[in-house]
Amino acid sequence: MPDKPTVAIGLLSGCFGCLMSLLDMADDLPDFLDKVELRRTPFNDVKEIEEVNIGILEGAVSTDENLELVKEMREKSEILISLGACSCFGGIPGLRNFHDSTVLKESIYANKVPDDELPALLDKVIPASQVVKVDVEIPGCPPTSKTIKDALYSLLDGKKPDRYKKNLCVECPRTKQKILTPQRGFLAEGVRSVMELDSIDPNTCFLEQGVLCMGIATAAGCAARCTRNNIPCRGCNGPVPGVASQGNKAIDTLASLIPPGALMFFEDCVGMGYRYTAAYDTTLKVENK
Amino acid sequence: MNIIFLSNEIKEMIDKPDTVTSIEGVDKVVPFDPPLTIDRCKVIVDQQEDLFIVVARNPQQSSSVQHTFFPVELANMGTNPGHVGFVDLNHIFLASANSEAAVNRLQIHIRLTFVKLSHTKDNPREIISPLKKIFVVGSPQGESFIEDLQKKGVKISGLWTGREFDLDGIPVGLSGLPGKYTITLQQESGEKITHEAGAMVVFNEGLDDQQKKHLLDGFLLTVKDHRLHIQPTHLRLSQGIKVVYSETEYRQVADFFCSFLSLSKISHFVEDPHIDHEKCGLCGTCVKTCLFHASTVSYSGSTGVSEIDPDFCVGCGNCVTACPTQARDLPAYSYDFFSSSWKELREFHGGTDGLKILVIYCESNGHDAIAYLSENKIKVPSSCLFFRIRCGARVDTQFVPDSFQAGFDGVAILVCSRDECNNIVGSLDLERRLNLYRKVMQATGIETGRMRIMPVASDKLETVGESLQQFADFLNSVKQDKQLFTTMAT
Repeated sequence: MPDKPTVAIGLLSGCFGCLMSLLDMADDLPDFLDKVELRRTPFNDVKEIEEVNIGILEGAVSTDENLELVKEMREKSEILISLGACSCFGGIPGLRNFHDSTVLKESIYANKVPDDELPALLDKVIPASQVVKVDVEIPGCPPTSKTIKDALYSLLDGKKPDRYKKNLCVECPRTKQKILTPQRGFLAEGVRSVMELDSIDPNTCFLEQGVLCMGIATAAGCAARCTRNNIPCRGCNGPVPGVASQGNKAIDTLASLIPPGALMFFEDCVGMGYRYTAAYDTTLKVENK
Repeated sequence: MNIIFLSNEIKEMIDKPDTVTSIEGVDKVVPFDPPLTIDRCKVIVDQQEDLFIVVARNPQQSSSVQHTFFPVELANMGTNPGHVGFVDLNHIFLASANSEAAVNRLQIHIRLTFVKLSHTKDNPREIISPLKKIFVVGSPQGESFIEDLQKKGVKISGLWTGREFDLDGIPVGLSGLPGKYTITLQQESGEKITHEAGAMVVFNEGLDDQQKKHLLDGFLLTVKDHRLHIQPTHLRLSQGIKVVYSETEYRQVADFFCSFLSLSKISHFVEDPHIDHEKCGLCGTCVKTCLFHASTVSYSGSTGVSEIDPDFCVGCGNCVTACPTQARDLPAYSYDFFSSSWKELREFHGGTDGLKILVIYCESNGHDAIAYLSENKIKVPSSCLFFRIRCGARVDTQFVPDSFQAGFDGVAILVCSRDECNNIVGSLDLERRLNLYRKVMQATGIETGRMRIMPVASDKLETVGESLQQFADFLNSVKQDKQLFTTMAT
């Protein structure tokens, strides 16, 4: 890594939240900005995409324009980073993979879909890593400012940061007891909704109280900020590396831990297990004969 | 080198046996007139390096599907039994409509077996010299049976009901491997430990249900003070524990123990999952899902470790599938093995009915059903391709979409019926998982009927052929309604 590496940021179909989180480095931001040279980013006025040392992608690959940009960023970046769940896994935009793209457009524009003005929607959302080789992945929706800061500073030091390999339970302060007893039945007899938070013990594992929490099937790295604050995890850090589908593996785990009604409470077992990774699971795009 | 010992019987079944030589990865094909002898192997095989597969009508003779005497004898001669695989012609021809289909299956199964061997060949083993004594629970009819064993130098110890014989105490605990078990006996004065090569549990007409229950409660069903509920008809805990019901079975079991105990060494694969501690987040799922109490997680402050007790682990793989970070892997059926398998399974040509059905079957009732169908020549749809796994517990939800992506129209999973599952909750957890996955299939427009769990009861093995035919008929009728088969917008 040169003394003052150049940085470019490519915006795909995202919400800008990851970049807000980057800016949330706050007091550390001036130091970081001193150490790099921003080239084409949303924060400055450079229009051309040039060759840079560090390229950062934010957002999912959802349109043909996104596809072009990803490829160009890969060509011109020495190191390419996928920042956030959208570029790592497809994120929330990936949920449209459960639907037909024509039907989706019609539901928004009715009869008047402005196809000549809109970038063409790809048939399915794809994570950046399934289009080009990505060097660093920083999952999260958004990743915490600390996670982003630690990853960027590692790179400045010449080290490539790895994704977390353990699940969230290792960072979560809530205690477990029932799961440590082998049993045929579930961890909780009933099912509780997160709306009943007032009566849920904030110190005990959510699953053991019949509340669905995706933490068990989600990579650590965010310091369990949600479960620590009495909100069950939604899985935005994605699966640990090596797991082909966060949703399918979550089913393998949760099926024997909590009653199926717990997933049904959200009336959307699919949306919970695959909330951030619908696009990442390549088998979710199966075309039937 | 990858070598195939090919039974000459195959010439009767396949027009062009030289298609075996053309299989990718095969270096040498050696024909033999069955049965294959150790001496024949010794001459051809390099004990250290070669992988070899025996292709014969039915090479497996023991009642267990995991271990046979053939690799045991090989081990005694110095070969790593992890280098030996078997392809059972009866299974290959079970659903083959013609010789071309048979060749397709044979090629796939040979390749799959080599894939499996390449993943398992260096797995750790435990070598045991079997003790020369067995433990008998119950009262076999006729003293000659026991005398037979005693004449061959086998010492009998045990608890008898209705007769006086070496009353050592009530068995309350069992652990270990065939050849050397540790049995805990409860006596009036306390507990006593005894080591035995194996055990025989005898039920006969002389015992009433209460007595039978007493025997089972006291012995085979007690694992570390926790009582399990297993039906007495299906105790197949391991090769060294035999349950006997009738005179003919006494003979078979007596012969079994005589051969078993004459071996100088028995080589057991360490079936316990391997744990990658870098991936383990100490969530505890492995503890909850292991009804054999083989898994533990111990914490010390903010760290901890997950462990497996080899005395109690039976290698079913439930904890491996349940582990959300895939920190555990089963040596006999690893994640890599499954990834490599899909490539081979994709080569299936399908059946004359125009379908491709993957039939995943477990090593217990699933295997027994397949064996029953092939031995009795019961008709099975030619669209079925059979793929063996340890237990329904080791079926990842991911296998279902993977098989559809590999070109299969349907996936049938043959497992023990719930109350007969050898691994207690294997069939149960499989059902729980796939019932949830049905929702995903609905959301992605996949016909949910394309996935079917078929629980198999040991007294209804013959119905499996019909169940598979019904499945094929269903798939064909649905396939014709193309709309159901295309991805739907919800």
